[in-house]
Amino acid sequence: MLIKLAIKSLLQRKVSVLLTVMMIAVSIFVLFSVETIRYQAKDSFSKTVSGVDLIVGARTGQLNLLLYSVFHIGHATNNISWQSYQQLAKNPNVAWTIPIALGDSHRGYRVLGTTADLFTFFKYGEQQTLTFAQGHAFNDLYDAVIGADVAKQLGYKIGDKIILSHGVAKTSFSQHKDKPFTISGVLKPTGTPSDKTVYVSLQAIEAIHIDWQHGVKLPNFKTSNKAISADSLVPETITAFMVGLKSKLATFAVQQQVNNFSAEPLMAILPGATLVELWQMLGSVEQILLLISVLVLAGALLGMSNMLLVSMKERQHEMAILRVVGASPLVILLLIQLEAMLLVIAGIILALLALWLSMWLFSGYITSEYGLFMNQQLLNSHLMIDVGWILLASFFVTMIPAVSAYYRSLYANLR
Amino acid sequence: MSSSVNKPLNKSAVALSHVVYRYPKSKAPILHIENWQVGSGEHVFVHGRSGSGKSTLLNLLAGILTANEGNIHLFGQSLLALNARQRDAFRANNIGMVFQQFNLVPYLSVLENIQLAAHFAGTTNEVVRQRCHSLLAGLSLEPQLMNRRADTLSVGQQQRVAIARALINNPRLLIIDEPTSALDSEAKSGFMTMLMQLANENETTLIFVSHDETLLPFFSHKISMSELNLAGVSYVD
Repeated sequence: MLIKLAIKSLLQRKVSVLLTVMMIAVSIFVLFSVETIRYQAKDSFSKTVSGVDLIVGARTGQLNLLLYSVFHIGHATNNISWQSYQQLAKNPNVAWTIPIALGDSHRGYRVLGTTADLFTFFKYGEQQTLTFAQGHAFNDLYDAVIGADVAKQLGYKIGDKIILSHGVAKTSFSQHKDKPFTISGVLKPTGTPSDKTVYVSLQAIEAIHIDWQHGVKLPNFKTSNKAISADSLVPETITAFMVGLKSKLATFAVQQQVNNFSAEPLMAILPGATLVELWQMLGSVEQILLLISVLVLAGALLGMSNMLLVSMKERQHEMAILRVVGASPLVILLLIQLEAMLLVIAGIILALLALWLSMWLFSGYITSEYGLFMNQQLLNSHLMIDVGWILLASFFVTMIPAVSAYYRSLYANLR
Repeated sequence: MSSSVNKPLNKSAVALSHVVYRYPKSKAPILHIENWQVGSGEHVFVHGRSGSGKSTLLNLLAGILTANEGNIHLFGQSLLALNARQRDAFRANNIGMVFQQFNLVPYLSVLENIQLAAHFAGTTNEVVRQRCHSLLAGLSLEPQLMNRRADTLSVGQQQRVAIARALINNPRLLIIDEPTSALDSEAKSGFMTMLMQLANENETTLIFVSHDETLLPFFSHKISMSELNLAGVSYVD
């Protein structure tokens, strides 16, 4: 009966109630968005790479190296010569290496030149390796393995032919048209940048750039595809490489050796430590965003409280009637609390719908622009805890009009 | 103290002894009734204008206000002996009230308004439905009105629904305050006839406050607020 009364009473004041719900919904949406991006970014970042002890690249910022090698964001400033790579890979502490050559793309998706070792040694999430949904790693020179998103978005399947473009822009004017690739494998979804990557062999990267110089195809040279065999292709440079060590204890020693490498300026980073550093850098921004959204929410709840308080004046008769038919002042207090709860719950539902909708609309954009994967379920325990806090806060804020109604109804003006 | 306090109180429906009420933070009482009793089943006309303390009297009788001094017994039950929550429950179960206007929650239907009163008295919906039909028929209200919003009814219809609502829990005491002030004379006498008939059928004790002396013929007993309320009259303990 009380719920029915609360609902009908709210419907009686449609416009102000609607505005209040919108106000609450917008503020909760802001809070939920910040929270979702916070948690999902943290989760997404931390699970992108695991089981890799060091990442080696040309000397640059630690974050920059991490971003371009793992998240495929930004560009390498310099490359590593093949000789240096070979030399470092021979270090007795090194168990395995995965070379990475970046710089080409296919319809906006980054192309990563590597070796089949990637599918054996690279780990993400909780020490999971990349696994194939269909097909296999590259056997032939012009084989390509694509991530789950690439396959899904572009509708590719095993055996399809694709053309790679030079550079990483979505529309490229220089394409490697003369050397089409055949898709040999499709990876299972991982929720990491792997999903948006096209993998080819290092030799293939080298092959498509034969007859090219300075990023431009030389018109008078045309080497026949048959003349190129995998064995004869040795890359001159790679972008970076990932290192797995035989013993974690050697990590800092190997890092030192790389940093002091005399042939060319190189650096090695610990992906885990650099992720933490990245996270700490984002941490203060995150805290400020959270603070702002909490303040916006507090404003909205106070606004709701004010709306209920103002309405008490015009509802004096209503309260008197309730008292006359036997409602105690406590029932009146509960009625106001119930109305506030209904408003806030409506606001939460609207905010969740908006959150869901915006994630659906923008998750692709966020993933491609910032390397964040938002494909987790939205209603996680973090949001549920937030909902709890919101309801608790609204309970306390609503005590202002509710207690006012309680005292008014003690001396209900019956005439 | 007058000897009337010692009289057996359970025979009378309403018994007030030495009741004094002051507004909070005010020294002078606005109501002081030394001794007043209403017998069970009596229909009493209380003649009084606004400002005579009648609203205070009705709120005291209903247990919404509590007296600063003295005590009120309703059907033998001392209101002082009840806590606030018990008084609210006692009111829901034993007292029906009708006022000048604004008796109904405007956004609820006629039926919902009546169900609301039943809810606080713990009357089941089944009983409400049964009683509702006979009550509305007795008040010349068409059954179709049941699902209409209260604020779409005419004032006369609203006042009759208010009577139905006041009677739904079969109260022993019906307190009515100027219910006809918004009605024309024809509607007034129709309203009064139905009210008295229902009160008789249900053997309800009726306290009816009005300044309209043309209604006097409907009642067996009459008292004036000026006789009842000693406040303002110098009072020596």
